[in-house]
Amino acid sequence: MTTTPIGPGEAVAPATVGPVRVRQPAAFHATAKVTISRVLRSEWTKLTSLRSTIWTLLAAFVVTVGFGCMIPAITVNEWHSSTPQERAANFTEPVMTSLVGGYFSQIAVGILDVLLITGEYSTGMIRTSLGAVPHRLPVLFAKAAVFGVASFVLSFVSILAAFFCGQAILHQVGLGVSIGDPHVIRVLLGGAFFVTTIGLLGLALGTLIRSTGGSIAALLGLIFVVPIITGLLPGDWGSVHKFIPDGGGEALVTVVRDHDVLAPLGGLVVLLVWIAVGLGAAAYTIVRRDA
Amino acid sequence: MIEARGLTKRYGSKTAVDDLTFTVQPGVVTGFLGPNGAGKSTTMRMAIGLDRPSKGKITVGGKAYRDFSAPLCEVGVLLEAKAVHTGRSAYKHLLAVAQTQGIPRGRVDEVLALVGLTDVAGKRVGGFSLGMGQRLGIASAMLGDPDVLILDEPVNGLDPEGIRWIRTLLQSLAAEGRTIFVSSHLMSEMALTATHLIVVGRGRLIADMSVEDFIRSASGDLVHVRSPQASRLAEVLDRQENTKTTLTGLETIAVNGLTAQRIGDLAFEAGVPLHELTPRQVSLEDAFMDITRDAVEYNHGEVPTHIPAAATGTGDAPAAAGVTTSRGQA
Repeated sequence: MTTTPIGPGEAVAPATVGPVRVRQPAAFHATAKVTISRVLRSEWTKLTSLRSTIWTLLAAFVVTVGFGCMIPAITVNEWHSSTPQERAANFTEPVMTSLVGGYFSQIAVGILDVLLITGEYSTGMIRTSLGAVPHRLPVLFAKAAVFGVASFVLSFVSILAAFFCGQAILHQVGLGVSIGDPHVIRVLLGGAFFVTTIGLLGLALGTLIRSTGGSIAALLGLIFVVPIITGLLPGDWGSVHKFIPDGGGEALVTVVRDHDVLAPLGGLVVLLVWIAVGLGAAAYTIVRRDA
Repeated sequence: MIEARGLTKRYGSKTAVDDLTFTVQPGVVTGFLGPNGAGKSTTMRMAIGLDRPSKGKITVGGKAYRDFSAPLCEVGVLLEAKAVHTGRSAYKHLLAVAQTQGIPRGRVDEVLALVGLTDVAGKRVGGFSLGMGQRLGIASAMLGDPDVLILDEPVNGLDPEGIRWIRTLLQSLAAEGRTIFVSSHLMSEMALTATHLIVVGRGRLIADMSVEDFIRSASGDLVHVRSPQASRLAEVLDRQENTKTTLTGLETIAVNGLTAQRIGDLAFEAGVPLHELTPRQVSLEDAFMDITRDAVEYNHGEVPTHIPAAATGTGDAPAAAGVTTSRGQA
């Protein structure tokens, strides 16, 4: 064991104020140090130790798969009662048909990511977190990484399950596509990435706003209200829609590009820029602000 | 050792901490006293880098908190509010905190045992009583086995047994050579726990001295004496330098400026019998009230000591009504 280090100033501590250091430092002091991988592990523990997180993710999975089977079943029903003209005009997006449940997981994951940080602010946990990691940024980025990966994997698995279930149903009337068909893998991965993006924007908004209610309102506004507004913009202004998260996500999951939508790669770039700007702003404030 | 140098924190036009300079020494429990809103919590938050000082600095062992590579192993902290996510179990909470700097799992079990929470380690913190929450906070502070402990109101919400437990714990930790900095607005508690006091009011330093000196400076040395020959004794004592006697009754005198021992000796020499000889120390509470009188942020107004029952209109509870009335005027 090494001798007790004496910091500046401590060496001159008056001998009159009690015995000085009769204690050996704990053995783990030798290896203790904040590192990124340790903060990642800590955030993983935090994520998996909240019952609400597990339940929300489970609910997102069930709803995504549930709707992924239900909508194709309705579609097949509708197919039987349609004229050939109707069949040719509609039923052009078999992949999307089985992915609508993703809208729910987008809300679930988004709100969960908001809670991931606002839950710490409202309970005071944030002071413990930032006290343990005074440089602060590792906390934010570890949260983003851990939850980003977790929500991407979970979304992808549930989207995949929804896809297989939905397409099996659609195959009854020959509408189904298979995973090897053009664009399909891209759409499935893109859907999962879109959900993850919404989650990370939730984390960013939660860090910026800190209150749960305000952050959820802002996030839902971004997901649902902003697209309505851009949809109402006249003329060329309407193409603004391409550059909002909703437009970026659309570009990733569209198979038949029938209107003003970016190419998939463009959509990916749009989402990445939103993530970068959101987390950048969150990083700036979490470092600057008193906790 | 904790050192504050010209530490200042402003929120807009309000100054929460005003040019504080003090040093907290290792080896003793140092009490950080002040009325609510005096800037104690803000000072402690600045010590661990949660709040940024507007001016000046506060360091631990000569270093800014954020420069520690494993801060939990240097400084243990208990903040006033439960800084814990209520949905997590005590064990998982401590584990997540420990993992940030590679503190081993075994240490989590150790601190849980130290604070007596082993049996409820798997329970959600949301269901904890205030006392259990405080114990968890102590466990969290001890996680890194730090040399310095900063505890904001640790006895809040504890039952008498818990208060005694924490008092003993803090004193034994100090005896190991650690620096213990404990805030409180409970003077009586600090009188029992702390050796040294740093007193603040309205963000300013009011006193930085030992508990003994603090009480003495506020009370002087007052000795209560009872004797059948009180007036004669008063004459004898008055001949001493810097001594003031006051007859408080037929047989009683209050003596200022002499120790009980000296008064006994003088009475013996003069052949005056003594029936009682009691050093009256002003309680820390009184000393505190005395010293911080001008520094309380929210003055409740003077509570009249006697209000005629008729004046309040409620004859059956005059005292309570009196308090209400005077607060209403403040």
